[in-house]
Amino acid sequence: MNRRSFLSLGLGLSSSLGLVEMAASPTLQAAQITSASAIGKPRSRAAETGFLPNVPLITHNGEQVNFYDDMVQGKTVLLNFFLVTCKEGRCPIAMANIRKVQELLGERVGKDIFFLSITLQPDFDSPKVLKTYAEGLDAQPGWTFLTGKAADIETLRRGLGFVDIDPERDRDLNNHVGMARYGNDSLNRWGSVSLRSSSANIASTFKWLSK
Amino acid sequence: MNSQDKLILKTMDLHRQITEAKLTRRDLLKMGMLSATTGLLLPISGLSLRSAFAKGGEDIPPPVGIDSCPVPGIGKISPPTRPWIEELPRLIEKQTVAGNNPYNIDHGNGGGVPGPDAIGTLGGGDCKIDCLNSFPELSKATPYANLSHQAWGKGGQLGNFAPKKWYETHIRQFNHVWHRDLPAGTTGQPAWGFDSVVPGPMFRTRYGEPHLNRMHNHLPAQNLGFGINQTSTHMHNLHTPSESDGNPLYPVFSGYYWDHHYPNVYAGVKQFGGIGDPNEALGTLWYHDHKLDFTAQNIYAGLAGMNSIYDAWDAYTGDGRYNGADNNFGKDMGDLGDETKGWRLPCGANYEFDVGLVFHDRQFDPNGVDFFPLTCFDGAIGDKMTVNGKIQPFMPVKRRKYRFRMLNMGPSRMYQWFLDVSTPFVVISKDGNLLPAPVLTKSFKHTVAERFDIIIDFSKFQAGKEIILSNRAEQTSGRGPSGKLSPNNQVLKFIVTSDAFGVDESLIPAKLRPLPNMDQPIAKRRSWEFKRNGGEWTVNGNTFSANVISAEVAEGTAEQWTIINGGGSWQHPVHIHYEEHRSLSINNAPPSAIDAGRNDVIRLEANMKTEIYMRFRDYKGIYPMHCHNAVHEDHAMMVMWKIV
Repeated sequence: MNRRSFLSLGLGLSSSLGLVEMAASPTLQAAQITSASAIGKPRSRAAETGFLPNVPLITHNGEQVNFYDDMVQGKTVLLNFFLVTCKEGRCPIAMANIRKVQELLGERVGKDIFFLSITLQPDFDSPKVLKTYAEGLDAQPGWTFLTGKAADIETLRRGLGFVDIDPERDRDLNNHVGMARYGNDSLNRWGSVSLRSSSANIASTFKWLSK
Repeated sequence: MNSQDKLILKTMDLHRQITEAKLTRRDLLKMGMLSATTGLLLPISGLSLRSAFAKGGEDIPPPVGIDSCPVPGIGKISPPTRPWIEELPRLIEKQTVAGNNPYNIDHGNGGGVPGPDAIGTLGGGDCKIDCLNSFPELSKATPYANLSHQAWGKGGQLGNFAPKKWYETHIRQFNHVWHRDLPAGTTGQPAWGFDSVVPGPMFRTRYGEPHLNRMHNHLPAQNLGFGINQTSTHMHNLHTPSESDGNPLYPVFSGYYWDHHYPNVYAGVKQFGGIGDPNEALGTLWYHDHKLDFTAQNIYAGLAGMNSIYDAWDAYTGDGRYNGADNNFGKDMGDLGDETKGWRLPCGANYEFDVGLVFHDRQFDPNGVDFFPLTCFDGAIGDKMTVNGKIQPFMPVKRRKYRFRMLNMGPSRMYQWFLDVSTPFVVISKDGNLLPAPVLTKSFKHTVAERFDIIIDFSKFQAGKEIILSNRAEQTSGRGPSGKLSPNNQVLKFIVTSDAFGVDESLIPAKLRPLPNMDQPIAKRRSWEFKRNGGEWTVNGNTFSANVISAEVAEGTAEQWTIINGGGSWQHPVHIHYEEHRSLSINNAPPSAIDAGRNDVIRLEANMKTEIYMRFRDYKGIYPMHCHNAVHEDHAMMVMWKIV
């Protein structure tokens, strides 16, 4: 049976992917404290209510970031969860769709819109795996793939509400929620869009955030 | 190359193939690339992940302090408030613009006097101008260029209903007091409202008296921590041409207005002539924001109100037979709001005994600040029960009959009502449509968006008697009620007063409006399955996409639709815009007396299947069908269909 508990098994996959080192990294601890953007800027109400947990994560380029402070605060974003070895065919379709949305939105991505894709299987999806994956998708700048400690990812997943109400189904990694949140943090505007809908439909949601 | 690298390469290769071939999940299943039980075959064969999963292991415990969906008593909980402190506010009676003169309507920024066609500029006025510029696809979505009014200034049988009553509404942020015991006290806290009240004002409109409502959007860009300053006001469920229906795809941006034209005709104008078939009359409507992806948030912010529509023009013979051919107008058989005429339903001067009750549950954070659970995909369930914008209010009532128009404004709670006295509810309408005869019941279920008109007779109670209306359906999530009855969840207290009121001339009639016949042959059958699928809300396996029309229906035809709950124990209150439908069967059995009337909301309970008969008469354009658990709706449980 496919269970989310796989995340915590350690399995020996992770050692060769550099994740054990990441988890123990002292700089990761430091990043939680000294994130420059966290100082002085007001947090949005969504962040205050725990909707956008400020967990430490690592990007596909190996940068250490705090989720809210560095990736979301004051920004317009599209965010979703995925895993590289997604079994259901849902991720390939969703991720290919995001790629098309990036094409439709053109230069806005990376400028005033940011895509964040967070892995649900951090033990396997190391920064190196994510980088390969991003290159395979031909992801352009402005689209960041994120991994981190399993417990932090879990905090993030629950905070954003990508949870099945049925605990058994929730444990099934291949049953993960296939929608994306889109929003503008500074305006507290948060909606959801299905990544199975057309890329034009997904791209059009950003119209709601700019007026 | 090690096995992990190979796996990544294989996965990426598969992704590329899927992308290039534009495959869907269904394609993958067909091609054998995906198995319903074991998933994508290729990467799995590359590495023995399954064997790893098979070992099982420890679960990660949920992090402390992160509750994705706060549940009353378990998650975040609102501060205490005393019951029966706030008096139930009456809904404000909506008035026409000064002198009922369209020239007194605010022209907005760049608009003009209301007319059959949109008036505005790209910088303001009628948002239809901006809308068509921003969304050129909309001009293709309706067959009418520029979203001009189908029923005004177009001539012919259908286009000749120029407004006789002129209204305007301003949507604004204001301060609202949900309860004086909350930390915000009597200053209140920000909410959004039609005419700066929650719920919005009560419109009293009449068949045969077309009206126009110019809806101005003045909402601020900075919201309440939720919501969006774009609106589309749906009149649920008037026989309204598409351009005025309040379609989720027609947004009104802040600084603009939208002219909603309501011809106030019965369904069947083409078939019956005049203003249509009086047996299709509606009675209790409500209006609410319907902005795509933000409906639940904006309704929760306060954007909902009511509209009662009356037959001022009725044409029944005493036996209830339609008699329009005899030109038998004004035969004192209409529900005129006059207790000595028509069915003599409770009303009274100034509608004193014809009372709108809007039920809505809310959550506040531990500091008493208004809170909407943005994280909940499943529904927003509050621990504070409000009626007409107040938590657990009381209502002084006179010793006589009242007509209550009960609306469940949602967003996700489903009620089951009880009184703590032996007096039954006299249910006279479902979804605002008068039943052929009243139904007496000790309890009834009331799902989101449904309306029930009931009569309660307080005449047999002594002054000082207190009667409590309770919802006993236990519900802790958007899934729906558990099926258990909670001991008590008190919502509203009636206090019988000793006030003199004169003579109660109202009646509980033995017979009300007859049901229209269903003799038009069925032109087409369609089936719609509402289902949670892969952590998403789907209709027929698909999530909503703004550029997809899921059904094209020929105007003037009748169809039979089968509405199916695809599984799980989820409940879905399914709402179909435009005409009312009839329930032919529920789980292959005949519907109950209440459900056998005309409906616009289907209480689709777990594993339920219902067959409905629906007609699509008169006007054309696009309309949605969606789950009215507004959180499900905002998570794509919707389809758009089109009358052509």
